Amino acid sequence: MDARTGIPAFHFDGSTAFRHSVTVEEASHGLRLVGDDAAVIGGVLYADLVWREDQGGLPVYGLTSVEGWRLGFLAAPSATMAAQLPRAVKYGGVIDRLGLPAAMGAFAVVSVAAVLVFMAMPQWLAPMVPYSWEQKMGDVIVGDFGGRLCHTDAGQAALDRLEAKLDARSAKAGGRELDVRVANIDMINAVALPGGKIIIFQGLLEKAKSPEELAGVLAHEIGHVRRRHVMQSLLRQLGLSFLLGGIDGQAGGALNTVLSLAYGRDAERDADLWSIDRMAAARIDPTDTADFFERMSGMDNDDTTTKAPENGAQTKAEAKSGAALPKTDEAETAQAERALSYITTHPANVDRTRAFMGSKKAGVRYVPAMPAADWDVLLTMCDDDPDVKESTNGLLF
Amino acid sequence: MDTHPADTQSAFGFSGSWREFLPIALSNLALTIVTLGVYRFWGQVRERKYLWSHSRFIDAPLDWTGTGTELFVGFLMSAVLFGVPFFIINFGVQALALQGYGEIAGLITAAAFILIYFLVGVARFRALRYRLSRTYWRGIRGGSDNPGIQYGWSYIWKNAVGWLPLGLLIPWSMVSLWNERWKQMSFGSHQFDSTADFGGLMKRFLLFYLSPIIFFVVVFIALIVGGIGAAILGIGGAVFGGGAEPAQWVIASLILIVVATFYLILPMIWLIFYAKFYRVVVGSLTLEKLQFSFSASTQNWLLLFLGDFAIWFVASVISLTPIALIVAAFGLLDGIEIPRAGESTVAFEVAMTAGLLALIMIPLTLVGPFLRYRHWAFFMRHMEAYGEIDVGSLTQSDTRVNKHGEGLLDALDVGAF
Repeated sequence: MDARTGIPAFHFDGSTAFRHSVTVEEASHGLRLVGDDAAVIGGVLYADLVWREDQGGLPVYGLTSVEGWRLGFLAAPSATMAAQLPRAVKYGGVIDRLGLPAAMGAFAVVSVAAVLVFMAMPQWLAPMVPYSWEQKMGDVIVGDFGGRLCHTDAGQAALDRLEAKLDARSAKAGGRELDVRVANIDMINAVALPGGKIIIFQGLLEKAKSPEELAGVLAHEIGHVRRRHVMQSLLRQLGLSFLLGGIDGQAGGALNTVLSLAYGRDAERDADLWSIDRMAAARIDPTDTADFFERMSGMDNDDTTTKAPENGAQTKAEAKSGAALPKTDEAETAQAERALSYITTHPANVDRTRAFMGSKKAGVRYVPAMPAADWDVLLTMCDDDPDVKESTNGLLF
Repeated sequence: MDTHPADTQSAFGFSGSWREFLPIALSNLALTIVTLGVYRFWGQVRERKYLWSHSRFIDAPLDWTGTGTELFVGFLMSAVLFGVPFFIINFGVQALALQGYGEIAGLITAAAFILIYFLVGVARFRALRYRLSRTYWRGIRGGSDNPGIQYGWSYIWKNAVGWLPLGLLIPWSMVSLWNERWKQMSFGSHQFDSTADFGGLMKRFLLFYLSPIIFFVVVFIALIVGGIGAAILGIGGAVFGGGAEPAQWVIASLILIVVATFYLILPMIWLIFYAKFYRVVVGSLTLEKLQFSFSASTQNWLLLFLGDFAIWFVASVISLTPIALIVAAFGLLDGIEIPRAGESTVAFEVAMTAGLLALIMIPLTLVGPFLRYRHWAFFMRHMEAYGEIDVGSLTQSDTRVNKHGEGLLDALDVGAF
């Protein structure tokens, strides 16, 4: 084959910026580059070439072994060359082989499977984490709650007795199996932290109508501990933030939150069922707990986070006038609130109210959750503790 | 053989078109979604390949040779090197604070802050180095053999010196860091040099620096004058009944003016400074016999950012539309099947919220490639070079090439050039 049948091309050798004008000829298993003066500059095997880009519709090739080496065709390669030259890369190896739609489908399947595995795993993994580890973690995280934990001997004893009443394992251990404390923080809330630590906020005690109401909330938190929800959610957060770490900042964070919240609500429902069950076993009247959730729904509670302000405001107004509303309005309120519950951490209060109310059985002789004397010392525990720090609102939580 | 930048046109040019770029951006987005973000790195490479190959220097296009795998590895490295200690410190500090060791927690936080600052400096240096080492022109690439540790320390102390005299030496620190960074870079066998001087920047910097002070003095005088006026009006109001309203109205509009000043006017004045800064620093950059310059005026920069703002605005409107529709649909509610209490609703919720999230995020996520395209085109169209370059003597760079991309910079979310 002589030079006249060659294809014109430009060539950079990767060692200087000099642009060589060459003609490209076929050689065995590769190409021969011939310079302007008809001298052969070099040869290259098809197998060593990589497609780099198209310039003006014509391909430019690189060499696997020399990074700056370029061969750019200035006219279309011959048919025999084209058959052996490496193909253009569009999206990257796997995607080009499968084709875009098939590759996208495959990726989607793998991604959904990965998310499902990462979401479900904590349920299996959490019980395997030794409880002692979790306890140590709880100690590290909580400490003395910045000196805000209230303590009097009588008040704590009253709380421990309630704990024993609601939890079989605590009953065996004399009421100190879990670590239930009251924190001098003016929020209507209670939290279950790693290691069986349950903190009841003073604000909740102050607003509670009765010890039965407190019992319902405490049993709910005990449910979180016994079902290992805390460890589960820690693991889930960790796993999802790892899995979704590749997604650009906010979208990944938002998706993580949504997935975690969805599971959070399931955990809340689970803890509610636990509470209902333990309350029934201890023969404690669930009415006040049901009532508590109804009041919370009237207050449009603290974790009904935004998104649909108009809708939320409506719910608030209607729920407040509660009983006075005709049946249909009430149903609408319930449905509106349920709709909102998809963007909150807790199940709709209407559902919780109904669930607790529904567990009340006629003919059962309910007993007080705690003696009046216990209730009194518990209510005044924070006031009676001279050392406790005061806090009007949640510190780091 | 000498190649002169053409006399009639700029040595740099950009010939990309939106029609060609859009399919790249769209397919990148689709692939990024289905891979939970992993494809992002390969998408970035496709974007850069397009932008680089449509950018011309003198007579040849640029050529991006970085790979997605590199960027991915860089990301993983920064996640481990940076994310893990950060995670531990974050939790440790919280625990320490809760247990009453506030001082130690504060110390650790301060140390972490300095470390992060140092890492930002190193990351800036290394991002520039990485990009130069992956940019080929006529088969030759750039780079640097300096690992950028020294630059990290310079970044801390020079910024500190810049801020210490009440921020008056910020232009000095910016220019000095630019010079330090570029002096370490090379292209092929040639070393860059940068000898920018901050003196010429001070007038514009002082304009930015003093404008809030002047503004507050003016507001203060206005308040006093207004106060006297209001007092007089108040007396009149007391006579005629109801004099409080004008005062509230004045305060509300004053707050509005202050906010507008801070978020709109002040950045614009910064742009006046920044336009000059960029002209000065690029104008002092040389590579052998090549002298670079940058032609964008304040007005050009302003138009660039107004365009960005318009794109953001349009994307926000588009992404808010589905939310508005869904909220409206929820108002009706009856048509939507909502699982009852007791049933597990996870699947339903995840599907619904993920769908909603996608609707919101897609237009906003597309803003990124739009802006990167615009900024690159802006950069290329305003870059100029004079002098000559001997392509025969421009031989291949022997600097080290890292096999990991600008992960640290990615993690810290700071720009490179």
